[in-house]
Amino acid sequence: MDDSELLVDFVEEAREHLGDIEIQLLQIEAMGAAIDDNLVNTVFRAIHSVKGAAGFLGLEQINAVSHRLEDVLGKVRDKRLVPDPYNVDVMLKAADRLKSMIEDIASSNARDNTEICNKLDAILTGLSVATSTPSKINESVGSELSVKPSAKRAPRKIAAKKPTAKKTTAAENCNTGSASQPNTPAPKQRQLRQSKTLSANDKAVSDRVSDSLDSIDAAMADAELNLAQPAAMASSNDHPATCTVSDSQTTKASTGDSTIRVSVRVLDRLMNLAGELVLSRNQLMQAITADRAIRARDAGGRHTSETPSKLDAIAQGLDQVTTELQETIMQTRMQPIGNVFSKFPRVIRDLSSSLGKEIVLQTEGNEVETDKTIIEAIADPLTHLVRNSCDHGIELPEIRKAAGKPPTGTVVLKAYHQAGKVMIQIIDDGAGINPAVLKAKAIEKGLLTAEDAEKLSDRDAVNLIFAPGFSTAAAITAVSGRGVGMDVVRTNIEKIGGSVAVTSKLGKGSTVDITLPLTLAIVPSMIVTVGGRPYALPQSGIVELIQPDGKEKSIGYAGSAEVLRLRGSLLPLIRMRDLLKVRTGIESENTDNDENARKSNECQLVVVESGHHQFAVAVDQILDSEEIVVKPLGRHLSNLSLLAGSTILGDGRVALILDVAGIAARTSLANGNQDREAAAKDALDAARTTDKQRLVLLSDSDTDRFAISMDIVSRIERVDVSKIEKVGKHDLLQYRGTTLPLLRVGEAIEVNNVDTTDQVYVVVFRVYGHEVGLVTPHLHDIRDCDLSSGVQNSSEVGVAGITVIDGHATRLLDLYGMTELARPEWFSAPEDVEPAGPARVLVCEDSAFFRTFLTRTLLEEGHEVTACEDGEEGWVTLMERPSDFDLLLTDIEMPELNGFELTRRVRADGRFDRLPIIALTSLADDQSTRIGKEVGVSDYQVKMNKPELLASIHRLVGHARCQQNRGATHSGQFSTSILNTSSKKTSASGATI
Amino acid sequence: MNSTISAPPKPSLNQSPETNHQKAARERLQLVTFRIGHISLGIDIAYVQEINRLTEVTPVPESSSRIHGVVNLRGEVVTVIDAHQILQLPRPASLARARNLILNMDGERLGILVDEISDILPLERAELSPTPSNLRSLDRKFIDSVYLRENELVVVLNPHGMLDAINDSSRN
Repeated sequence: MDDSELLVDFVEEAREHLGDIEIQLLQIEAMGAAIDDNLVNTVFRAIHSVKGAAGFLGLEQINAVSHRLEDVLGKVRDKRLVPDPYNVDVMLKAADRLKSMIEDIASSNARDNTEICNKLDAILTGLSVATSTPSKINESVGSELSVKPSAKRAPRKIAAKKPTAKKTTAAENCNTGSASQPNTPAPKQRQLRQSKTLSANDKAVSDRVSDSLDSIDAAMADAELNLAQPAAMASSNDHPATCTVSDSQTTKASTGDSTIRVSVRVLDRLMNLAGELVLSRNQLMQAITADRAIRARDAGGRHTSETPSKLDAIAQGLDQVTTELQETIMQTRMQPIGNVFSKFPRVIRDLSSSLGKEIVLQTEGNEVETDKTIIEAIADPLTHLVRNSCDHGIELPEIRKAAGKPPTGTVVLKAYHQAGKVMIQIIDDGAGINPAVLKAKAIEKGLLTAEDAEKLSDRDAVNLIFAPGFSTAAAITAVSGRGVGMDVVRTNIEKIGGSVAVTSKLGKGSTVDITLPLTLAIVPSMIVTVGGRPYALPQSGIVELIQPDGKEKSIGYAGSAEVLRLRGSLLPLIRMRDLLKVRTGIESENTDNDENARKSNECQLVVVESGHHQFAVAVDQILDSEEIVVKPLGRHLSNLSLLAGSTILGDGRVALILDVAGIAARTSLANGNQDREAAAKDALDAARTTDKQRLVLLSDSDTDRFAISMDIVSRIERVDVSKIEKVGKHDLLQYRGTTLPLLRVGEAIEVNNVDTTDQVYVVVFRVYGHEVGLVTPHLHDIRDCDLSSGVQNSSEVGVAGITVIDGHATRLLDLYGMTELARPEWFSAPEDVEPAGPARVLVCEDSAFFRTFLTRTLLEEGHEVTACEDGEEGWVTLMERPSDFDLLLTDIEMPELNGFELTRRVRADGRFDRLPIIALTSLADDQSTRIGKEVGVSDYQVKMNKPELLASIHRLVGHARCQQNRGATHSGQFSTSILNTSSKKTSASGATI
Repeated sequence: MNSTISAPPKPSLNQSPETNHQKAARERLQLVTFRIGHISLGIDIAYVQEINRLTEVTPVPESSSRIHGVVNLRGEVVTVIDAHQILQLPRPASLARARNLILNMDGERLGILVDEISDILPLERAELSPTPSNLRSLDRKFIDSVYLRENELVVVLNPHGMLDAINDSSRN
């Protein structure tokens, strides 16, 4: 081991010694005169080791500073110096200086440390500490002597006070005592390596004096760890003859935390090898299967020997070990977030004095672990945010007092795990953020128009601080205004896959929430294929997966650009085949597959999101979701905007990771906004010509096929069965940070059979503010179906009707009815809308199925219904009995007279000014809403959305009645007409109910 | 994935073949020789980490045309350069004898797909001849020198020249 290696060792060791020194010194400061001996000893020993090694290695300046610092600490330990803000400040500065010299070890000897040395000397000679009186010193020394009559105390004290020469004698002294080896030389780093033999001897000696096991351990640890710092060891009462046994608590801690430094590269390599092991196992399994097939054929179909199952077991064992290996290696990269938090007490201390504020810091969740890379990446943004809280958040003490708050402000740093993420909160009880001020500033800076600002909620407004080019500091202070805006903070956090948001209460304080992934190395992704090759699409960018019908009816064109029509909105569509221009290499055996894929045109769509930009990408197949390990691409490939790296799949293939942001950037260039708007119009016009219902087709088994109206579905997810948890008698899914209650069709209605699969589909919809997921093993299709004929209404609760789709009897589910059956508790909650009592409703709907469905729904609620088959008939009915209806419920798409025309006519007739009109639609898009508003529709409702529809009826009827009651002419008529029309349920039009 | 040749300990990479050439013409070296198209090529074994059968290359969209793609080298994703494209040689009809030559240049790994591995050629540096000026079809900057073996010309590649060629092309 040459000198340079020794230096490297020294630097690493010194870093460890000085790692916690800030916290420790601050703790010492906080305790004042009532010092914690253990704590002071720990710091003393740390500085002592640095000093010793620095002296040995000829690092004079480090030696000089650490020597004086050690002496000051010695004085503190001996209670001859009371730590106060002034001398702790000097100690902190000395520690800082040591750290900076250690980081630049080569030039450390060239540093001029006269000033800090003089300050330390001044404290030592007591010039600046007039407070510690001689009597106090005597007293403390006296008491110490009486408590710990220590033989070795005196020489050590000399060592602590006098320069290094003396210290060597103390060290020798100590070694002789502990290891019975008189000729141990002065402590050198190298000697540490040989200390095992010493400790063995030590043990023998200790055994002889029948020592306790504990103190042997402590002695061994001391011999190993502290040989270079013997003077630091306080002798204990039990062992007056040896000086090795120091405070047992600290030594125990050091034995428990036995660690070894390993380079991250080695860990990455291990990680790769573990992955490779998995791959080899897979290949082994394939070989075994193939082998078995051959043998089975040779044996003429007879059952073969038991060897394969043995092999299976071995392979399975191999798999488990490998998985565990991989996890353990991942774990080695995890570090507690406390490593970052630990620097903040100092930051706060310095800030509060420079800002003239009183601030205390509380940290919670120091033990929360996350990936080393994330810990490193979060330090700077966190510092910025904490500085911001202190600078802009916490007020000056006088202002706080005036506001009725305690003069001391509090900043809380809190870390915790939530839903597989690490959350960090920075909470201050300061002034809070004034959204109005931020809005004004944003307008002034041209980031926002006055109109936009008007629309912006307060919640969104406070997050303006993260907008690029926005700085809240009225005047740029040394503390937070250093040219680094909050947008940089956000960018840096987003770079590591996190997010940041702020909430604030004016006058009460602000909370910054940071969400971070547990690890950077593993990204949950969806594996898709394009041109026969796998690609990974990070889950964080995926909004939903869509399976359009084979005819791709939902895909339209806007000039040259393709768009996807999805629940009334239009998304640009990008075909990954075209974008990636998959080259066929020389190994193009894949062309066959390619051709097949192209022929069958089996494209699947994924809706992705980048920023506020949503779009759809078409891929050939969606394979599976997988937690992938990100591997960097070589430097020649690292600047490709469409790719975010690569990964290796279970079968050993390389999959490139698609960069959603890169794809988004590309598409916004390709598709102008105007193009898309034009496309939107075209597509909507095309859609409006027929009145079809978009249905999700799913099944529990071959005999149980179901359909759900797509209009009430929020989204559809595919999840592993293993992810579903059972809580009580209900199933739950941990999902995007919350839990999603799950419902199975069988819980509400009769089901013959439910297939078991590894993965299930979860159809997510909302019921009275609850998000609910319907679990089903099979999802067949999403397509437009004509329900105007061929649908039978069903008497079963939870089933709206029965129809035949693709030759299968399919039950059209009434999700709300089902949910009410399965979870009645959600429906018992009182509604916002006060029921307005029974209403007389005129229903115009051309589809017999929906007509019946609506009629039944309304009757169940106690309303009276008159149903008509189209707008014309509705108009005639209304003309015949103008005062018989409280509300008109009309479909938009109808033969003869459509809903818009009907509304226009009704409104044109002065008598029906106040008649509420609800338009039923399957497309709640902007354009039809606008047309509806123009012609006088009161509200829009989706056909199958029962709770919303009923609430709307209550609201509108209630409102209309209030108005009518004010107009005295109508009120009398109104109450009698209810009685009169009670027999008119079977309507004039003759529609059967 | 079975490496057919394991590289001997590498000489220090700070010494590039050029300076060696000037310093000591008598210095011995070993060439890994292989065939791309109809041309015999050689490369200093000091640059060769291993030779394997990882010939199923995953193409990388939008990468330089001089890059073939990437392969999975025991868990590491390694870029494979397209020597056929760089040297403008025809691609082989069959990949049966093709091998992936993994180079290690200052810790950076790069693969080259070759049509066939020939053998390892021990020789003295003095036996190498400077690049003939009339050498057609190959860009001179990829070529270090040539060696005459039983009436067959072995073109000694300069891996740094190849690397530069890719650097240039991926920047554009």
